[in-house]
Amino acid sequence: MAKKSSLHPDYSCNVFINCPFDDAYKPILQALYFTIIDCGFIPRCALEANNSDDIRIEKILNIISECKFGIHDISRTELDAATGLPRFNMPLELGMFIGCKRYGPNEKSYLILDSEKYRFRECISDIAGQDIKIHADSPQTAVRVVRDWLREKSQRTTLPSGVVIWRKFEQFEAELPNICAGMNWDINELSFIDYFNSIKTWLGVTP
Amino acid sequence: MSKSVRILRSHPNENPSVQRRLEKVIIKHRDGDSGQYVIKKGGDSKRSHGKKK
Repeated sequence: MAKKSSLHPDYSCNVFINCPFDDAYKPILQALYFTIIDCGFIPRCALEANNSDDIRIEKILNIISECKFGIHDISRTELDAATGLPRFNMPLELGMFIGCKRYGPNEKSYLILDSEKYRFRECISDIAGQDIKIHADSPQTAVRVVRDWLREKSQRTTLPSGVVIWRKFEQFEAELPNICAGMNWDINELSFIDYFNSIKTWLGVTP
Repeated sequence: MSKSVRILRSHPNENPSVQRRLEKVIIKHRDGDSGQYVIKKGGDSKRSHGKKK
């Protein structure tokens, strides 16, 4: 496939999310979506597209090409209890993003998240020396870390602080069951795009 | 008091008609039967200064 060299119109607002999608991680993932939207950026991830005829890796590469920023959580790089094999999708996509940053035509920034300090040394020692941020499996910490990173890398001065975002997120989560009931949605089966629509609309009508 | 500026960007796959329905649902739920908000046609909302509708 020919390489795209033109910038996506929202390139500097798009944030690629390379994080686990399992239920245990959901509180952090949803807090990350909220933070990114509240800070005026656009979360982009493999869950957003439903065109199943696309090859998954092509879909991910296309999204990466449209994103200036990338958030990579490697905290679930661990052995799967059922198969005994490690889950490598997150490190793979991190490697793809680093490759695009190194060899691609456009400027990129990425943030690596993990649950424990220095845990990465046991599984991806090649990323040693980079500033890896720790969320300690806390959604509130993840909010602060991502907000502060977006503030630094984007140089935008209008971002709300992490505590302010967290308070709004808690309020949003408290209202979400009623929002889902009103929309006739099952809260446990919300798609990425319905969750995005809910956050954006909620923020739009919340002072 | 100065008002904070919030810029909400659009996702390429977002759905404006879903967002209009969401807006109505959120406002309706928040205000219950208090009538604090009036839902205008087209999905826009506006405070009615606490008047019962």
